Amino acid sequence: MKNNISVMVIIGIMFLTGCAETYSVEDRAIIRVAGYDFVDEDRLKATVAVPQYGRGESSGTPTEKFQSAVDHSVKEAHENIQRKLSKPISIGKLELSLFNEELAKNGLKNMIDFLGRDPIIGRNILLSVVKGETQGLIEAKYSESETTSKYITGLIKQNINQSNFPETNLHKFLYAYYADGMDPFLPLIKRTDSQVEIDGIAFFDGAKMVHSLPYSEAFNFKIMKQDFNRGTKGIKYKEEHIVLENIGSRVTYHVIDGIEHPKFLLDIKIKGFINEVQNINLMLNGPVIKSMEKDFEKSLQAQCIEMIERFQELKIDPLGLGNDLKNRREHFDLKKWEDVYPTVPVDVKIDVEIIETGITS
Amino acid sequence: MGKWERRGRNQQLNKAGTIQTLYKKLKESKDFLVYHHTGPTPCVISYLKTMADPKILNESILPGLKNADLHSLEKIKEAITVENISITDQAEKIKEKVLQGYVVIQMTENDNQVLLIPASTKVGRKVSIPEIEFSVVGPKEAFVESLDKNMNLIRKRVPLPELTVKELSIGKLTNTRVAVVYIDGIANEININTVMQRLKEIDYDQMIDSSYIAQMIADNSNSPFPQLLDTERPDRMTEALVEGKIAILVDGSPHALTCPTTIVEFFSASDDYFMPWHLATVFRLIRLFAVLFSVLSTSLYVAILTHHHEMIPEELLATIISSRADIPFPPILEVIILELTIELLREAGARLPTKIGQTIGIVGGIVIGTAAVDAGLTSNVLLIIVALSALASFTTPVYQISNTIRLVRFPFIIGAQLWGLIGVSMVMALFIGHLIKLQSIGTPFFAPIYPLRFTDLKDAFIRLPFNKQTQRPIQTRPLKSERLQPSDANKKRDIDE
Amino acid sequence: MNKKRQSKIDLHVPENLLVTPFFVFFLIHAMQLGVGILSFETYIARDAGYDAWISLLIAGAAIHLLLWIVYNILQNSKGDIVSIHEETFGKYIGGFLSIIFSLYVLLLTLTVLRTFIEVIQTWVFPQLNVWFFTLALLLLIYYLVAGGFRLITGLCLISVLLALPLLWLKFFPIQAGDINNVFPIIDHTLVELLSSAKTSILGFLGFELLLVFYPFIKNPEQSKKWAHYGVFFTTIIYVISAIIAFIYFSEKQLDQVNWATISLWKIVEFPFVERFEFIGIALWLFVVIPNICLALWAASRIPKRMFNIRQTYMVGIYCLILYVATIMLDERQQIKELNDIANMIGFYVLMYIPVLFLFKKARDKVRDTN
Repeated sequence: MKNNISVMVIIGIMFLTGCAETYSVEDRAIIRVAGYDFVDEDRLKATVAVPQYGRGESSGTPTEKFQSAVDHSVKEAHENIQRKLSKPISIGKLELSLFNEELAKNGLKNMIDFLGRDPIIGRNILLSVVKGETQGLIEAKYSESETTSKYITGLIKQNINQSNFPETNLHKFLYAYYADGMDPFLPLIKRTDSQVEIDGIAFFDGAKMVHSLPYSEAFNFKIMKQDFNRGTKGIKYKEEHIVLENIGSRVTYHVIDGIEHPKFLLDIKIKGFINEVQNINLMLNGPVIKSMEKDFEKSLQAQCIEMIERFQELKIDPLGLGNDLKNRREHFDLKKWEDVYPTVPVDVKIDVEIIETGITS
Repeated sequence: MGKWERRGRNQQLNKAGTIQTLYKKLKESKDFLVYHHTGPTPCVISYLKTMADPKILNESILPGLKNADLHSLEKIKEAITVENISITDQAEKIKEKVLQGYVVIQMTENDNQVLLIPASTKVGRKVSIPEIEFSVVGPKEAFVESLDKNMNLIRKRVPLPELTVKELSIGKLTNTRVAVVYIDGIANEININTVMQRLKEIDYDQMIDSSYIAQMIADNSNSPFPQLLDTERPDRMTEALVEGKIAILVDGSPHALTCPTTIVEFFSASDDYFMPWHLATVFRLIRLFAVLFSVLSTSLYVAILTHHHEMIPEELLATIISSRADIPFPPILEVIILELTIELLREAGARLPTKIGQTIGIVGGIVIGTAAVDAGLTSNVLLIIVALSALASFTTPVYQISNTIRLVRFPFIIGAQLWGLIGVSMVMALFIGHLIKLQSIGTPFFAPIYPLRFTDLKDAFIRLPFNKQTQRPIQTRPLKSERLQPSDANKKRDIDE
Repeated sequence: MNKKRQSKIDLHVPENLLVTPFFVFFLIHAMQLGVGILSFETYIARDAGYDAWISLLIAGAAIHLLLWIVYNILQNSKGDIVSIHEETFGKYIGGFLSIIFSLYVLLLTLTVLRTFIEVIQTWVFPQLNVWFFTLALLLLIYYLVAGGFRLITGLCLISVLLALPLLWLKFFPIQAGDINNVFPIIDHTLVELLSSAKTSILGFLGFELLLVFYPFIKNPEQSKKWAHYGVFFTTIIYVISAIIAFIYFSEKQLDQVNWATISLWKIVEFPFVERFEFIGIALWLFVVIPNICLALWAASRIPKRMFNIRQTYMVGIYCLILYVATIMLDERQQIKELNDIANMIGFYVLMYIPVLFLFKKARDKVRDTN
């Protein structure tokens, strides 16, 4: 019976110490979106949106309250925001982190360290660069049925899954940031009056944003970067504009020759539909489709090579060619690779196959 | 103090005196009749009016005495047409038999030689349908309070000379008949000896129900888990007997015990054998899931809401937060209040007559639940969870284990409040350790998981078809383990053969 | 019968306390898989980069060899480490070595316990009340160890059953990763691979407890194959974990990550639950508890065999030592040092096994010629 007594004592202790301060989920300020703006060389402004959930209105969207604070580091800025709130901040459900373009151009080292170090932050959260102020973008009201965070996350996610934007999240960003011979990229978004749109892709050299591409070129980048099954691309074909709907694009990187003088070949295979032809008089028969395929191949190849050359000029490697070389050839030397990268020959081979032309011929 | 006094009195009560002292004691009761029979054969007939059957007395005994010249008990014995008549002068035996309703005949009142005529009448209900372990298909007979009727129900199902019944009488005051039933040649002697040994060691005043025995002979009486399976279905007991298990029946108890048993047996219903095996397997898995859900759901609610809200997906988060927005209590208090309310309803329902009980359950559940949500005392999300977990705990086919599940929840809730999911894991480790340690009549209770017995898994979480059940479970260490010869029917045939 | 062989203390273990040879698989595997697997990827990749999975295979092979030696030592003596030490080195030196072994196992226990609490502090509760949590955990462990060897074996089995489903979660990082990272080119020298193998071998520590629980195995000869399967299974799990971490992380990124396996759980998402690392760590308790229990049991078993003290007391004393040590070590750096020391000693213990084997062989030969 000694056992029973000790069990009672333990349970007693548990109840006594169990009453330590804990905050249940509704007593926390759960931040879904945070934005960071450039103030000056060593200060930034953090803006967060705190959803206010009301009782019994599960159908309606929560209203949001916005807070911002200026300080030297992310943590300190959050601490300053904390001063203005009745509930403790909880950063654990953060799903979107925005940086304005100026901050990105000055380098995101702080942010990367903060996001990568804190175990409470998920790895699937989205990062994005904003043209203009993030504060204004977060505080604007876009939709009656969605919170800002949900709206922007949904916007980016569906463009990744269903459209031309290449895959990105915190993990992918960190992967590229730390990897040898690879540079990260992020979506670039901007606010236009009552809505937000993806403006393009922001490219980084290390932690600094150095370049951006317009959204129209995202398709080209995506077919070189990854395999995917969605997206559309239009080209001029004999004075007409035709649109290719991608249903399966596969890319393989080939490294030719040794580590001393590497050459790359990107072998891209695209299968697609033609679903929109502007001139209805065009008959879509075998020879026409063949020549369409040829035209697609030619124009895509030219655009892709042109894009890679631009990367080489800027000495950035978002495609991760260096990383690929490192994985496939012995004795990879990062220094040497960085020296030769701008002059490395990269060839792109594109194979387009149009397998359907819709239900009207 | 009181214990010593009681023991002294007990000894006095059990002391066998002479017939005279016995009669003196019995005559103090109004229903003990001593009747001087006159006529051709004068003798003294005495019996307990409330225990003896007047029909036997009037139709078999008294007409026999009408014959003249029966001057000795032997003669009377021959004249009376009732079986099992005996002559004795042992006061102890006389006492026992009189109390069972035997009619005693003496030649004269102070004679020590008596004739004992069995004339007991049995008052008791008829065999009815099982209420606790109800099943839609399958046999509808349930045990009753009479040991003999229960034995009849079993013998009827197992017409085997090997079906052995050992009887003991337990309880210093009640002298209750307890029967140990097993199939000789299948049941293992070690198990039988263990059971007999433990039954013999019982030293207690009364033996009202088989659950007394279940608690007294359990390997670990401090465990919340029942270590003997209790059943009111003779068919279920038959299943157990042919697997080499031992059954214990107590006179006066409509529940029999079977042992050795395992934890998984408590979650298998007799319905499982009346259905095709795939259906049975699915339903059994659902039941096991329900048990896990019932034990863990509220503690997970506490753990996640208090400590790990990062785990809640976005869509659920809004629902949960808005339902909890104005609740004044932390999740742990909310859960304990609601769990206690449900337990209250359950206790009230169990104490009230069936019809009212059901109404209380439903009305109480709906009215109190909605009112609590409206008043802002609990969130409706939790109400759903608690109601579901209560419902899930009713799916266990054996009543005893559902009580355990009710209790076991609370340590989990405390663990969850302290260290979230890790606390839940710690309590889980404690219970798993306890279950591994636990034994049922000397055999491991956590089998067939540990010790891992692959052959016994055929009827544990899943139930394989009957033709795959070729071996009796190893758990019972049966003397003959072969249940059926795998026949050619099991062979795979090719197309069109 | 050799009179010399009989130890002063009775080694007879009652029949009903023995476990079947099959369970040696779980005992070996559960003891090897501890907290090490949560973080080993980073360390093994430091020397051999992404070729480190080859080092793991080398380490696994080495362990198979050592296991074979351990079985050889045990089979010839029919005893456990205490009686082997006694008959090989005599009463005093042998006894001293046995005590060292007991303390080493206790150190292993402390490392696992403290590191797991560290994981909880880092990942789940930064403000964890360490003295109270450790108290509760040690009480639980005391209760389980007091249940005896059979109970601990059962826990080992449960741990494998509960932790195995976690392997399915590895599909999530495979989808997000880049298979090219483990392209099989061997870019590292043999020295680098071996140095990484030395680091990897620490993940396999724990199988040497066989020296203590060997008398508890029914038909120990048959357990040999199960022990090897156990080691093989551990190797497979380590290799899979390593390869998947290499696929998911870039090499420099992995160097920044402290607990790679837990980081991998972070990306697991289901419609009803996100952020699987909390569930993963909670379930990992079932891996850690048998580990601690078995080690504590073995550590306290040695003094019982030597001095015939009640094992319950020894478990109590050791629990107290663990408790005090856990509370005293409260900085990340100290815990890292603790791990380093335990690993270093563990490596020497592994080195000691062949030495013991040779000494014993020599001893047997001397005795046989006499």
